[in-house]
Amino acid sequence: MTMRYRLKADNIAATVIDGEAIIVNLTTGVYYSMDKVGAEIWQMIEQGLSVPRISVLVVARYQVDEERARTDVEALVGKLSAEDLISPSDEPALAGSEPVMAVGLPYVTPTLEIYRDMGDLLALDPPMPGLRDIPLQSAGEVGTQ
Amino acid sequence: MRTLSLASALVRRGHQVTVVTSHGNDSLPDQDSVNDVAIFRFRFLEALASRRLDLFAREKRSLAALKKSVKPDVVHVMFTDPTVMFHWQTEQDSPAPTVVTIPIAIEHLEAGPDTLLHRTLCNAAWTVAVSEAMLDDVRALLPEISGRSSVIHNSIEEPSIPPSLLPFEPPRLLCLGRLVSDKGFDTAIDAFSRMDRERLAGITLVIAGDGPARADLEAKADALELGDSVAFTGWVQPEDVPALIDSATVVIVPSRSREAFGNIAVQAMQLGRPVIAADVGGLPEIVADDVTGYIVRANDPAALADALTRLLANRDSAVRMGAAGRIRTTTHFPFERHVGEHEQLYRTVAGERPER
Repeated sequence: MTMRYRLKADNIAATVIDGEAIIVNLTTGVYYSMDKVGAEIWQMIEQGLSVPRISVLVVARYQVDEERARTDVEALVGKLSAEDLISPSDEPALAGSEPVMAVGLPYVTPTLEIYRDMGDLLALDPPMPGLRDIPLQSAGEVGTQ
Repeated sequence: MRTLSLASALVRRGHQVTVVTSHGNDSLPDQDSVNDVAIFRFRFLEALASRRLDLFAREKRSLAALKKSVKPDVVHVMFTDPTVMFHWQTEQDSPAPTVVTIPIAIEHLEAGPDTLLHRTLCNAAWTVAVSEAMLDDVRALLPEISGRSSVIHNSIEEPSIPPSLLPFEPPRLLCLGRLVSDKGFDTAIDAFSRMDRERLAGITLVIAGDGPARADLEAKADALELGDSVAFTGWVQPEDVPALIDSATVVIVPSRSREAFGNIAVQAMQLGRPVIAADVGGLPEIVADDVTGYIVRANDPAALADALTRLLANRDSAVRMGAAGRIRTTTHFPFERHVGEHEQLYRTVAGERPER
């Protein structure tokens, strides 16, 4: 596996909110979210840390053995790459980018939640009369019919 | 389901209800109160559509703060757009069982494991479909939710006006809804063009509502040389809908895609109008064929024209069908039962003992 990755900044919008990563692929409109471990891994990728280094830091921070951490980190990086959210990079890590972290936290396998239907759902017509009887939009625009 | 009607009824029964919804494009306040129902409007749709994650973050934090303040016993989500994502993103801020109502047809939606729809159905404590047809669709999509899903038919509060006599001199046919292809109003125009309009002197077809298909529908009426006998009203204010329905001899619901339910059919029946509806989605559960109107094949103008002609040829029968429809709404779709079924479901998912 490639050692280091970078975020595809020109193709995505991403933020970490209260420990949850939200990512949008601007080309496809697909949304993604990741839980706390995944969000931290995302931030470490952003900081230019190598995959092995990320695994080491995950082991240091969470109650997880090296083998499982390495497998999980590689699997997550593989998914992020397959979704075109990150790409291999030769650039070195950002100076001073190693996070200072608490240790011994309970570990949950990081999961990339994918929402491929956001475009479809945003395009939905409002349902038939009365469903949106709480005024949402001016009557002439969408409303209840 | 009418969210505010349900919420107001629950408040009348002693519950506290907070409604969270999306802002539209206008300037309705962020915070409001209607019928003692607290309403909070967020910029959820704008954040998702614009992909502005700074706004996403702000709205998510605001919702989290609201949930921590309200501490709901149950969260009831109407799955009509992707804003449910904000609920799942803030679920841990005040954990509560989630009831999800699917009030829209989902047959055309992507529903694989990597979708918000799939996640929503998987995470929900209970999924409510608004018709048996929709329940079949939801369970076909995710069979594992069969044991935690059910139907609560939509219902609509009784109209504020009493029904008037059906007008036959001349007859007035009505289609009402958003002017989009799925509604099949073009089929109604086709059917209308096939009717013997000379014998039914002065007959009109009223197409009420607005939407992207309006120009095509108007062009079709022109091409069929229907002239002033087809009237396009444009947008109708919700408060004017009952009077509009009450002015019709028959209401046509010619949808070509699966209607999740068919509120217009119920509203028409409440006002004693016979209904001719297509055989799609929840419509056959509302309209009793040959009793409260007719069920016809979707996309079949000849069948629709035939049903209309039959209905208008026998005035007594049309009046009887209208009256039967009115009774059917009180036996099959009474509003208080609809409220009670929700109340009972909330108690069940919240782990409370059922009320006796």
